[in-house]
Amino acid sequence: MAEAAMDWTVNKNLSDAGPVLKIEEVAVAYKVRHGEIVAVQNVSFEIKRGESYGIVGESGCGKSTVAWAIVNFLGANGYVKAGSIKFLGQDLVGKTGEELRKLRGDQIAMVYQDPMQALNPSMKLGDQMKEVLTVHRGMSDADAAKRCIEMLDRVYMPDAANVMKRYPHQISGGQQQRVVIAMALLNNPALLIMDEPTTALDVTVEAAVLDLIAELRRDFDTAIMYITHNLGVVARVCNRVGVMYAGEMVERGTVEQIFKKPQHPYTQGLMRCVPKLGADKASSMLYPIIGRVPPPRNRPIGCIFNPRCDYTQDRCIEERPQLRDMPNGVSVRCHFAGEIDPAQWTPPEELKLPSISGGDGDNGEAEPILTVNGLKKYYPVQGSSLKDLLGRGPKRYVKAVEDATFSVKKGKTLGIVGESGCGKSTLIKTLIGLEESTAGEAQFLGFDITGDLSTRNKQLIQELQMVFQNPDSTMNPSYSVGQQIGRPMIRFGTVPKNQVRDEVIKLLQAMRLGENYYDRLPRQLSGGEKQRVGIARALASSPNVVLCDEPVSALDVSVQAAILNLLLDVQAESGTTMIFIAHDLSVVRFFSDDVAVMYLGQIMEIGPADAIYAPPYHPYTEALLSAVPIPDPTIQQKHIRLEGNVPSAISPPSGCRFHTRCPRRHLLPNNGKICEEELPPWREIGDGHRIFCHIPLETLRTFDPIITQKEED
Amino acid sequence: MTVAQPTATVSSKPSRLKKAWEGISIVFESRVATVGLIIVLFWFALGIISLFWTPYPPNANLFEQNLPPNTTNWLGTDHLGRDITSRLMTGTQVVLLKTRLPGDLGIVIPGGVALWGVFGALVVGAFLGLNAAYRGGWWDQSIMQVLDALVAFPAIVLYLVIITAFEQGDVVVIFAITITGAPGVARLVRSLALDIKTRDYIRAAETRGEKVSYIMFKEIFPNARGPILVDAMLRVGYAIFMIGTLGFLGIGLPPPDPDWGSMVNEARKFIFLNPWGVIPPAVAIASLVVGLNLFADGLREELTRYQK
Repeated sequence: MAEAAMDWTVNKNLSDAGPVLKIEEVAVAYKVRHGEIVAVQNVSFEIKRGESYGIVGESGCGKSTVAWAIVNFLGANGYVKAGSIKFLGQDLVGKTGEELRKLRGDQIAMVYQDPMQALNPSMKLGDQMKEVLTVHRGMSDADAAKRCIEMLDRVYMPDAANVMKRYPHQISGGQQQRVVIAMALLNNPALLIMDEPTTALDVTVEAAVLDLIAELRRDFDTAIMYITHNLGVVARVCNRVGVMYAGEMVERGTVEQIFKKPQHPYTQGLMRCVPKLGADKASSMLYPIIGRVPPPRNRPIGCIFNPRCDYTQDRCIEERPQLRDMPNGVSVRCHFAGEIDPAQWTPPEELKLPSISGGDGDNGEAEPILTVNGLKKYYPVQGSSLKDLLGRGPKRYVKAVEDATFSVKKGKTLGIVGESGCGKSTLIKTLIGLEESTAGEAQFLGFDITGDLSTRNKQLIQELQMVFQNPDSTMNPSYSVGQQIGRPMIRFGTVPKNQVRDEVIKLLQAMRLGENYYDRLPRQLSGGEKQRVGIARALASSPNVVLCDEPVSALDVSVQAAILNLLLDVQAESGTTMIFIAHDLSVVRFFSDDVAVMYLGQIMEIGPADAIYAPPYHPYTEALLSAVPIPDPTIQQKHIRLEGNVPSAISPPSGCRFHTRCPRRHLLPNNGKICEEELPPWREIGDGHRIFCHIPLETLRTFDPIITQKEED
Repeated sequence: MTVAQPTATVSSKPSRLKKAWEGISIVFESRVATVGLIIVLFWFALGIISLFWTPYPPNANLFEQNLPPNTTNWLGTDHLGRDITSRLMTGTQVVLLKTRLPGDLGIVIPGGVALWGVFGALVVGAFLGLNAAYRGGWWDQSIMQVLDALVAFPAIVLYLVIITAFEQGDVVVIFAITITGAPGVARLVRSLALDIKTRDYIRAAETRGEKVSYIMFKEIFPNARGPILVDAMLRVGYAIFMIGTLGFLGIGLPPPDPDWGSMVNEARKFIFLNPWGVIPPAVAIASLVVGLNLFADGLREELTRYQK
């Protein structure tokens, strides 16, 4: 490793003086059919060697546009309109393609969100990686191969030599991203641009990749520009941050400064939107930012944030503020920065917050409305051998859901968490009847719901409705909002036909959408508005149970907060029971009364939300919790990282499904031999909290809490 | 396309008008589509004029035979001494404007043979394609296998079989266009529907317990309209071409009313006497087909372009 480290420092002396990247007052515009759109303006920042600079903001704020401007990747109609982009002291703006190529050479590398799109699916990974070196550096094939293997080892790729011979689809998403990062580092670039590199990854994989990035920054002395929408990720990997809003940089400073004392009202608003890990709906509240990011065409004349700001004064509407340096070294684009104290903030009038009455719902034991016992869902898979083709081979199944047992009480929320592919979506698809269950019992209001929709009568269908994940596909583009919300009412006959319009408008108002939305088409709505309509449609038949399949995971944080508040409101008013799926553990904790943790089709731990997030933990829950990025640099998180990949659901591991990756099995005699051989018992802790693990409760209880407050200096 | 239409439609009226204009104005964004539309409208206009007025009666032998273009007969005369200009104008009718139903009553319905033929192909193709895509499994297998087998026959052989099996007539030509066009439409609709059926709003309809036919025709089909419309334009072009071919083979639309294909066929026999006779109907067929193609291409480009 020392040898490698030496190698990496060769380029270091190129420019000891000055930053690697210096961006000054950059504006980027796109030419369109009628004139041009200025997407980004007045953006300035600099990145030094060995520094990781985070750029955060909601979608549509111009984060990626800045990155594309640096690598001249703006497309045919985009160009840098003003300002300068200095890379190692030389201005990149206005140079032709060939000049740029010479200037940049192999010094800038970029890592994108989706590793599958960055890798060529028809080439072996080794060939792709070697190409970088043989083309740019003129290295011999053997040398390049050696170097690639070193680099793969460096990013902790297990069995690096073998990975070189594989194709991209043969390794997992997290490993693909490692390969992309290794590839980006092969030429030892002076600047590494990362555009949401972990957004597409699961939380445990994300944690490992983030660890890697933080480590590489220390060792390689590269300047990293890190673009993300996730405040928690920034807190974990960056040392300085720039917050972007509507194409402008509104605040920049060090991570500690920004998170401890955000000064721009937008940054403060962002912090209030995100549920803290461990916060719940009874004790805390989310405060969405009112309104939405203005499109580039009609940005306000004065301060760009003034229509959504709680401190707007006349000056904000008339005059656009400049980025000002504050005494503590933070730069803020606000006329009144320094005078605003977030501690004094009170929610504005028009922000209708849900009326959650503390422990009110806990009185007495509500009867369960939905009980599921040993529910299984297997999908048959077709083998490829001749025997299988003739139907004589052994039947094989994807065991998507195995022995799910739980119950949901009336008016309560069950949260289901787990990584992608753990069967949480299949579970609710089976409950709602889009899929037929394979075995087990499921009862809803005393009726059997193990069959699919064709076996259910209209009343039963009406009582179970669903909210979907993707706002862009949740609404039929051909029909207006009113028609789509009205359809369930007509279909189930819950409302007389001549009153449908009034009822729809009533529902729209409950969703905080006005009557004028009735005739709008989906393409005229924003993502958050579409999701509101999706919720309204699910509620239109006044169902008893609403199943929410990741309803907020595709939304920006400020919108997410508003939707969560809305769902809470609905629940408080009509006592709707909900099953809420999400992969964000903070959101689930905030929203749910009970939580089930799933791994590979199996529920590993289930119980009241506060019990799940505190010891005793199931080892998997513990690992999940320690992986969540937390937007608070003062919090200390236990460091547990899972190794390996989620095994295939076609042949899940014997015994406990988690034994292949369990970091705690060494606590059992014989290194947890029993975990491989026997199904674990359900260990009852009381109050409905159960853990599916061989480790005795006494040992589980000794685990420390995941999150502790760092001691203040 | 009106589902769950609320009782009060007054407020939605202006928006619908505006929507219609938006739809039309998109044509003029593209120069290609505008040129195509002008060509097509030219032939429509000529056809409509011919319903009321032609320079001379199209079927009367008033002149000398096989005349080249001159001041009386702008495009010359054919082998029976009929005015080609008048016959060309009247020939537009049967392609674009009217269909003669069989029987002695001489009933005529609006809409040309090419339009009805393509409409038939759309109805049959969309129905089969939607069923294949949404129901899947054996439905998909059997529908598509049969259609594939149909495609395996050369189109011209199919036409010959259909037209010789029945009598010559407008409706038979429509039927022929429908049968040969349906597999292509079905494939297109199927591929579109396979994509659309994975969307969440289809899941939402399923969890409402909607009927299969409702989901196919009310939820999926409206979202496939754009590409189907463009495809239909192209198909009208092919249909006109096919009518021309059938006319040329002498088994197309029945005489005595002129159609462009048979005009080419008849003039061909006297091409050494009067080379001018073939050109007008041939140019008419070509220009209408090219016009429709340009229009469809331009429209497709504008529809798929990222908006503003």
